[in-house]
Amino acid sequence: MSTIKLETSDGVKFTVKTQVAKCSGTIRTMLEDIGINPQDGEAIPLSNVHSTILQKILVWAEHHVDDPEPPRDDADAAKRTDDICSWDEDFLKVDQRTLFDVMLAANYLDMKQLIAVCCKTVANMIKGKTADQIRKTFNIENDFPPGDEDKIRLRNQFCEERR
Amino acid sequence: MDFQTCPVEILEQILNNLFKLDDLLNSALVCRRWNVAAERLILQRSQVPIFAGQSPCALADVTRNYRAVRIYYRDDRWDELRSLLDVCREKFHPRAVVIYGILADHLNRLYVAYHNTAKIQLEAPMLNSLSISATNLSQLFTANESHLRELNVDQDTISLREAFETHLVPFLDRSGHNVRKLIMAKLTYFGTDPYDCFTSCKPLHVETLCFHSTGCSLDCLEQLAGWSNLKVKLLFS
Repeated sequence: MSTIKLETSDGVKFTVKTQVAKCSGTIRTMLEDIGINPQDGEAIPLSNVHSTILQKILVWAEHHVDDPEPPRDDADAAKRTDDICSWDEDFLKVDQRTLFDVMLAANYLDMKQLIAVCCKTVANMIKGKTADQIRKTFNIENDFPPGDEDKIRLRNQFCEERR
Repeated sequence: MDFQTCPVEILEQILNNLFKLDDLLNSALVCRRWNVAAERLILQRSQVPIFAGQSPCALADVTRNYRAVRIYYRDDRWDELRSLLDVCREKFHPRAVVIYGILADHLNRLYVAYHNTAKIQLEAPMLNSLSISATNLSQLFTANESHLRELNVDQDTISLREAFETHLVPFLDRSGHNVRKLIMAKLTYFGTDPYDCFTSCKPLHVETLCFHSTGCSLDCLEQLAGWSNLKVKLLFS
C-alpha cells in the first residue's frame, strides 16, 4: 500500500497511507493536480498544522476513509445539527483550544466533512444562549465601542424570521 | 488564536448551523467579528414586517438593508400601507415581497409598483380569485397551499402563445395547482398566430376555460371550438 510523508509546522514527520492523506482536499490537489511525487521520499510540508493536531486529524481520517462522498447539498436545504455520529461526538470531546485548532487545520487541509462536524459541534454550544453567555462560554471579549451594542439591539428589534 | 479572532468565513460556517433567528441575533451581539459574520446570515433569514399604522419615519430609520418585505394586510387599509411600501421600495429594493391576505385589485396595484424589483410571494389563503395581466405572472409565487381557484388573465399586448408558454403554464405548474377556472380577457392577438391553448391546458387541472371580449374573427372562434373537444369547457362571453 502506498504511503506518503507529511511534515508538520514543528518539524515532525508522519508516514501516512496515501488513501488516508487524500481525505484532505489540499493534499489530494498537491498529489493529483500539481504532481508532487510522494515516491521521492520527500515530505509534504504542512506549515499551518502542529503535530498534535495532525495526529488527531489522522485518527479521524483513518476512521472515515471509506465514507461515501457526501451529497452536494444546496445552501437552502434544511440542515440539522443533531446528526453528529457518536464516534465524531466522542472524537470532538476535547478542550476548546483543541477543537478550535482541529477546525482551523481542517479548513487549511480542506476536509469538508470534518469542518462541518466541528462547526455543528460549536453551533450546538451557541444555541439558546444570550450574547453574554456566549462570550463566557468561548472566553470572548466584548470589543464593541460604547453605544454600538445598543445600535445593534435597536436594529435587531425591527426584524423577524423569514417564512 | 481563539473564537474571538476566528476567520470570518469559518465563523459564518459555524453560525450557518443556527436555524433560529434569535440565536443569530444573539451571536451578532457577541463581538465585532461575530457581528460581521452574523449579519449576512441575518439578512438572508429575516424580513422587515410592514403593517398599516406603522410610522413611515421609523421605517426610514431602519439601518439594515433588508432583502425581503412581509406585508401584513388587514382591514383593507391599503392607502396607509401604500406610503410604507413606497419607503420600502426606495430604501431596500427588496427581492422578495410576501403578502398575507391582500385583495386582488390591490395586488394588481402593487404589481405596478413592484414588478420590476422583486418577486412577489402570495400567501393569501382567503384569496381564491385573482385578476392579473399575463406578463406579471412570472413575478408571482404563491405558497404551496395556495387556494387560488380562479385566474383572470389579461392577455395584454402579447400573443396567446406567449401568454401561455412564457407566463401562464409556468405559473400554473409552479403555483396554481388548485386553479380550476382560467379566464382569458381580450383575446385579440389570436388571428395572426393561432395557438392551441387547450393542449397546453391538458396536463393542468384547469376544468373551465373562458374567453372574454373576444375581438377575433369567426374563423378563429371556429378554430378554438375545434380544439376544444378536450375535457375543457369552452365558454364565450
